[in-house]
Amino acid sequence: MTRQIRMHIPDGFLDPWVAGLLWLGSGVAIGLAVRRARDELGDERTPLLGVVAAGIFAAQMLNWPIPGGTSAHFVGGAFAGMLLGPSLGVLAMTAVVTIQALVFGDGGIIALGGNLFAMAVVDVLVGYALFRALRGVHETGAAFVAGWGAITAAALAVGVGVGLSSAFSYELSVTVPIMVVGHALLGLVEGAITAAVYGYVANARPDLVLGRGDDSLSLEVGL
Amino acid sequence: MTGVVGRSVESITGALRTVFTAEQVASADGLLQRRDPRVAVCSVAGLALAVMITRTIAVTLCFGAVTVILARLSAVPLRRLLARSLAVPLVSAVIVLPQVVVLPGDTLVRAFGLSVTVDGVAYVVLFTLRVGVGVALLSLIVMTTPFSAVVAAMRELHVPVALVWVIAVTYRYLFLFFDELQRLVLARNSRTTGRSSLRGGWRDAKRLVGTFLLRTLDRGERVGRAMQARGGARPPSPYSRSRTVDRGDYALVALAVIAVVGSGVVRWGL
Repeated sequence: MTRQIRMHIPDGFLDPWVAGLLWLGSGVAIGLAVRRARDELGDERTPLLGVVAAGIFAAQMLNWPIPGGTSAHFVGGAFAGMLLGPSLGVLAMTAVVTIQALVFGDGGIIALGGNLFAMAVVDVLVGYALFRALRGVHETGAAFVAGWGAITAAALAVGVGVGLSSAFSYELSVTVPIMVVGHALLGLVEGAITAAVYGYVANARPDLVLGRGDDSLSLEVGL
Repeated sequence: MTGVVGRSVESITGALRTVFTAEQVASADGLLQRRDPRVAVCSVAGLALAVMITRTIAVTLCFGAVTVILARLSAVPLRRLLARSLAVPLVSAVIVLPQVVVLPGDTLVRAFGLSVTVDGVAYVVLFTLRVGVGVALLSLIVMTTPFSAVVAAMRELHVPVALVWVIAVTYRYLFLFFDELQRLVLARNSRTTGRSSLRGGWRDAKRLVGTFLLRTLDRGERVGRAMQARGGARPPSPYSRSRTVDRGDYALVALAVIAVVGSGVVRWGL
């Protein structure tokens, strides 16, 4: 049995006005990320980001064992923020979530804005902010907290979105605690995976680590 | 390395099978395949919006029928569409199932001291149908419109070129990386016997993903150097294609507009 840590919202859970607000929120955040990335990257380096995004997407396919004989999957939003920085991380995860929807059929068309908001905006930005704030205390610990906190915050965003929607019969007082508590527990796995992968990459390529060089991938990588 | 981590190969194979099946249907000659990708995506999104607006079982069933008709006209095998669209609504039904006793209303049946209400059952049926039709509409787009066409449509719909490029390159490299990860897992599997413990499984997965991501970054560096060597210029739009919108396209757009307006009128009145 495989249990995936997934929070794609299908169509039918969100009211059109909530879906519209989430489209607006993710559109503004992604637009700002595109604007900043254009300045940071320059035209000729933009496609490189896609290579890294594809790598994160493929890494999501690996099953990580968890107690009870089940498995969990890496989501990678916080890791993308830690490795690429906030703007490029948002763009990388936007590519991942969009392809998940329009190639693999995860989530929904109307709900895509909500899924982008949770997984490409909140997950990345919260992960980046937590890692940046805590890396001075303990780097691996900061990576764990970033992975855990980011997935929990993304779940909170989903809980608020569906809780506000009259199409979904449960109210905020039910959806928020269920999503937050559930993902705070499952998020321990995401935090552990993020810390494990971060530790491995940081040991092998310390030049890529946020804060040791630039605030994004090293200049050598070209991002 | 057998067990959970080794079974990742099945996840990757399953994902690849999903994509190849969809690409096969997308190459068939059908109604949605012949449409301009901008029109196909926007019209199906319009139909999905109409389904999200409605709060009536009969209207939702009508949209379900429209989805099935579109699938038949687009040479989408109904069994395949059903197989893709069934899991999510069933899970959704389980999530809202308690509402059959929570929602107040006329009692339909009493069991174990609980009253199953007419309103509760109607809500669960409506919610499940709406989710099901929504998932089926998304599956319809996935199965009839190649992603390269969707990417071209994004650019023509004025999505920023930098974002379109990132999405296009992600898609272009995705299958290469799926293949690479699959080979990594198979190579580890073939060199390991016995079942690994939880700790061993984590150690294996950490090494696998770490090695894989480092290879990804190496490839990124190589691609970057190659592009810089070529001058770094890129065309204005990946997968760009020019196509004129025909009568069939206008008809599909009209259907979507009528669906949204009609759904709104049924719900809120004129």
